[in-house]
Order: sequence, then C-alpha cells, then structure tokens
Amino acid sequence: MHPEFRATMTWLHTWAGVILGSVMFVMFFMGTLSVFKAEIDQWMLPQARLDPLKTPVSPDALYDAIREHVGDDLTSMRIVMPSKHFPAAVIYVYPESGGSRTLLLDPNRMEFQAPVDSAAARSFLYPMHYRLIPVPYGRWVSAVVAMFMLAMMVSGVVIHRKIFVDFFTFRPGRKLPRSSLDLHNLTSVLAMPFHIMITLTGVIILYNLYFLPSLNAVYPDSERPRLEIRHDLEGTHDTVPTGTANTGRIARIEEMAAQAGPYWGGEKLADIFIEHPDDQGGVVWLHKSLANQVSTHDRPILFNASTGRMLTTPQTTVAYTAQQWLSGVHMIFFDHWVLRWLYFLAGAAGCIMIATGFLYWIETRRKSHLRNKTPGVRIVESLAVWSVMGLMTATAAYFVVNRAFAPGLWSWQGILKPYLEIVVFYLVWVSALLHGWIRGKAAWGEQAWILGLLGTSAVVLNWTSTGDHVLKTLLAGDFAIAGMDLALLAGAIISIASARRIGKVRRQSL
Amino acid sequence: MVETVEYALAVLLLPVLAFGGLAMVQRKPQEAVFGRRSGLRPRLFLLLSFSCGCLAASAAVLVKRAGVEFAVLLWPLSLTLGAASVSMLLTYAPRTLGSVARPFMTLPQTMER
Repeated sequence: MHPEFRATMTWLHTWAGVILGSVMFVMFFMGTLSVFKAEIDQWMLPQARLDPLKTPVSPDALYDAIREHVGDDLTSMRIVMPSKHFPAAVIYVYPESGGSRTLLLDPNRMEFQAPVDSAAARSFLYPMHYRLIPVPYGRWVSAVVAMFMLAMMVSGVVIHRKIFVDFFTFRPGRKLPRSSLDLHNLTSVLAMPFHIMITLTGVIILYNLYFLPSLNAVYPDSERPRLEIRHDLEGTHDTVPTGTANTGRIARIEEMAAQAGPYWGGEKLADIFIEHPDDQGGVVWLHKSLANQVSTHDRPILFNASTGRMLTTPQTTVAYTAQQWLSGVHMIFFDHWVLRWLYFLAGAAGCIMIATGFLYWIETRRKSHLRNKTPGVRIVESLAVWSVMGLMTATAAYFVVNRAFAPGLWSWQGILKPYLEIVVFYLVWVSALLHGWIRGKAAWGEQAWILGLLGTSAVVLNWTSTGDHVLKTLLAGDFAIAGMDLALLAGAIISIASARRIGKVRRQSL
Repeated sequence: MVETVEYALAVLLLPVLAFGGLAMVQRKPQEAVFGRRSGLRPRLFLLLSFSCGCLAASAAVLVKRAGVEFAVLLWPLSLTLGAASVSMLLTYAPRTLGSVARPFMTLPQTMER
C-alpha cells in the first residue's frame, strides 16, 4: 500500500474521530440502551409493571374501554397491543381540542393505570439516538455523522498494519496509550461486522434525508415529500373525513383483523390506528406484529371504520421491501432475546471503541501539548469526558430523578416530572463538560465515582419507591426489572472499580 | 431449556472453540498458552479443519433453531462474541485453552528424537 495513502487515511481517521467522536458516542450509547427500551420503560414506569397477559385481549374490548374513558373529544387514537416485552396496552389519544395524551391500560383487569409521568426510554433516550438533541436539524447531524462513521471504518482498516497479527491482542498491563490502542483495535476489529452492518443500515434508514432534492423533484407540489413517498411505497394514503356523522359504533376490529390474517401469514395484530371514528369516512389501520420477522414492514391494511370493509391491501415494491428489511436489522423490533443481547454487547463494544480512541489520542499528545502550551488536549479531553463519562452520568441521574419522585408526586415546584427528569439530565451533562474543562485528567475518575454512586442510588430508590428489589424480581421471574437493576449495579461496580484504579495510577504518578 | 442449550452451544461454545483453534495458528497466542519454550507446533490441517468445522456447526445449529432470516444476523455476532471471549481468555487465563488445544499441537521431529 502506498505510504501516502495510508498517511491520508490516518489523518482522516484521527481528525474525524476527534471532531465527531462525541456525537458518535451519543449515538452508540443511546442506541445500545435502546435495545432494551421496553424494559427500561417498565423500570421507569412502575404503573406498567403488570402481570403477563393471561388470555388474548380483544381489540374491541380495548376500544370500548378507551371510548368510555376519553369520551367524545376525539380525532384519532392509536392502540399498541400488549406484548411479551411490554404487558400494558399503550394508547395515544388525539383530542379535537389539540395535543395528545398517552394512557396505559392493564389488559388483564381492563383498568387504566396512573398517568404516564416520564418520557422514559421510548420518548427520550431512544429519540436521542437518531435526533441527538431536540432541535429541528438533529437528524441531519446524525445522518452526516453516520456517513463519516462508515468512512472511518474503511480508513481504520487501511491504517491498521497488523490487523491479523494483533487480532487477539490486549495488553492491559502496558501503559495507557498502548492498552487503550489495543482495546480500540480489539473492539473495532472483532465487532467490525456489527459496526459496518449497523452504520450502513442506519444510513439506509435515513435515505429520504440524503435524497431530499430528488424527492422534491418527484413531488414538486407537495409540502411533505417524505410522507408522500412513504404513502406511494406502501400503497397507503391520507384519509379525509366526509363530515357525515357515524351514528353507530365502529365495526368490529376483530373481524377486520380476521380479514387481514391471510395477508399477514398468520401473524397477530399489534397496532391499531383509528382516524375520525365518529365520521362515516373514518378509517382503521391495522398493523401486524413484528415479533417474528426482521423486517419493519408491518403490512398496514386500511378499513372503513363504520362498515369494516377493506379499502386497501398491502402493496410494496421490491426496493421498499429490501429497505424495510435493512431497517429492521437496525431497529430490532423483533422478539429474539439472544439476538438482542448480542446487539447490546456489540453496541457496548462500539462505545468502548470510541472512548478508547479518544483516550489514545489524548494520552499520546498530553506531554507534548503541555510542553508546547497547546490547548488541543485540554479541549479534546473535556469533550471526551463530557461525551463519555458525562453522558453516562447524566443518564444515571435521569434514572435517579425518575425513582426519587414517586408517581404520586406529579409536580414539584410547578415543574412536571417528565420535564424535571430531562432538565436534570441536561444540567448534569453540561456540568460534566465544565467539570472536564476545569479538572482535566482528574475528571475521569471523579465522574466515575459519581456514576457509581448514582447507579447504586437508582437501584436503592427503585426498591424503596416500589418495593421491587433484585431478589424479589428475580424470584418472581420479572427479568425486565431485575435485568435493569442488575445492569445498573454492574455499571456502578465497574465505575467504582475504574475510579479506584484511576486514583491509584494518579497517586503513583505524583 | 433445549433452546437455551442450543443457543449456548452455537453462540458461545462453538465460536470459542473455533477461534481458540485459529488463535493457536499464531505465534503470540501459542506462546501465551504453552509458554515460549514449549517447542510445540500446530498441526495446521487439523487445527484449521477443526475450527472451520466448529464455525460450520455453529451456523447449522443457528439456522435450524432460528431460521435463515435470524441466523444471518446471529452468526456474525456469535463470531464476534467467540473471538472476544478467546481474546479475554488469552489475556487473563491463557492456560485454560491449553487442554483443548494440546491434541492439535505437536513437537517438531528433531525435538522428538
């Protein structure tokens, strides 16, 4: 290989990593947590910790219960049927007066649970994976960073001279630059199939962002070209109410699901969207369960709400089917516990890869930058502390606030609990940046201590606020809650052990 | 239970054995497992056949248990887990691989005499 080519690739790999590493870590860390977002939701919403479904629940019974609960102020609603991962039925209600409400319903007792008082994982941690911070162009940033991630993988392979000789090499006893580079190489090379697959599919999911000009050319008069192409690819369309009142209740959803059955290959109904239920032009969308397939294509079928007549059948192009399969590889809506754990471990390897990349860059330049009084290491180190330790600490603080303010305590000083959790998350995260800037190298260990304490506190607070301690949930077979508690404890132990080791090394070097 | 055993076999044990075998082809892992002065040399054909056999068996079990659609995702990730486990074993407990790898190693003829 031409030395100049390798040098160019080294430059690209180094600087793309240093500049975009923070964003990449946020995407990898939040993506890794999102593997278990349903389980995190259960942990953060004790009102959703229900017994598993004993008998199949009727969608019509759910609809009737919801109508009775919400009354006539209703434009549309979405019902997510209970599943193995999330035993409550989740209902999104869109009233005519505007806004939306989220309700949880215990399908065994047909009782509505306490109001949803947390953004939890589904509405905060998971969106952060692809939208970063809630600004209009967050998706664009993550789309560009995903492209760079692909470029970094290729350049990483080019610059790694001993990719096979060092395949299994990890020397934790060596000095920090060497051991961090070993770990960087190990996690990147061994998990490379995952990294390539997850980044490439991430890029493919966002196809309609990259090719927006071409969509504008196809739909020149549309204000929503991305929605238009989706409708065309799925063979679906927007519905318009007729303005004629629907005198009776809507047709039976179970019968609609029976009509949909042959198109779904025996899969169950998972998601129901009902638009304008009180209008004769009202419609019902039925979506099949994705539990037993990789693809995210849930073959939506449209019915007239008042007659129950099927209006459209699932239609897809080959390209769309392929895109949906690749999206499914990334989004893991399927129900496969072994594969989910493998995704989680590989995602964690990605986080380690990015963190050790930062460490290597910082440690190889620390002395020279100090000698030349160059601010590079200080800037990159505070960014690295912020994005690596700070993000994990902020997430742990998010969990602690969730459990510290019990469901009954809906509002505190006029701030609603979901907002309080998010405000604390960002406050801790910004503080981590300042702390990293002020304390430099010492911030790694100090934040590791804080992370360890917060992780332990979250487990204790979960016990005191709900009575669910690890032993109890393990014995009851409630693995979602037990798993979350154990993961927090494991994280806390690793953090405290790391903090102790960092402290020991620092004392020896003084 | 059968499902868990099959997955443990296909996702962890077989890939660990496969990568353990592949590691023994390399000098550094060999030295870590048997020491620098063991003089042992790998029986290349046997080792590579064993490793490829384990990889193929892992793929076969996964296809049978999870179907092709999930196996294409499970198998590469299992290989990552297997390779990472071997790497950790070589780092923290290299001798544990010795008993498994010993039948695939031989002394050079000059040393045997």
